[in-house]
Amino acid sequence: MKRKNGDITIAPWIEIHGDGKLVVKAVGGSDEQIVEE
Amino acid sequence: MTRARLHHVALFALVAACDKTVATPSGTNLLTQPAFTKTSMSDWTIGAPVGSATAVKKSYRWTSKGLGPDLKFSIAFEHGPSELVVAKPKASPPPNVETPRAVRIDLVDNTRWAVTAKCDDDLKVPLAVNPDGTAAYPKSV
Repeated sequence: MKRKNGDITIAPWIEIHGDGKLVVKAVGGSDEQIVEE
Repeated sequence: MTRARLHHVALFALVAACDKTVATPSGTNLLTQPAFTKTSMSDWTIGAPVGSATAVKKSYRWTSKGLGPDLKFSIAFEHGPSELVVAKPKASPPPNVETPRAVRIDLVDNTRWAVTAKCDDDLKVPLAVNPDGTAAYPKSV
């Protein structure tokens, strides 16, 4: 997560593997969370 | 953040918000990548698909402590075997390799954030090693 001139930028991390494995994670520390629905 | 050990496609969505931000409408297609041909090994490429693919679709909710409202997005992709094309094959020809295909990311629900997504155009080739310690072809990328 970055803060600049009032903006907040978030960059979740997504990995897609050839065997079908999918990894989705927040990279901003404990303030952020990504959950599957 | 290092990418040296990634064995996959790497993607990430960028999200920004401030008072002047124009929210990206719910339902927006953020990314469509029909197929991958490049790999992180410059002389290896992905050739034609071999056989049928398996479809995967999942939805996610991003939440934060006070940064802004929740955001929902979906990821759909297919995966299946494809030809591994090697410019200079080893003694044996390369086997087919499991690859992701047809990656699509959609914004499902958003009220405040400006959202974009991008995707590396090459597949990260994992290090694969034979029992004797020599380099092997990967089975999946």
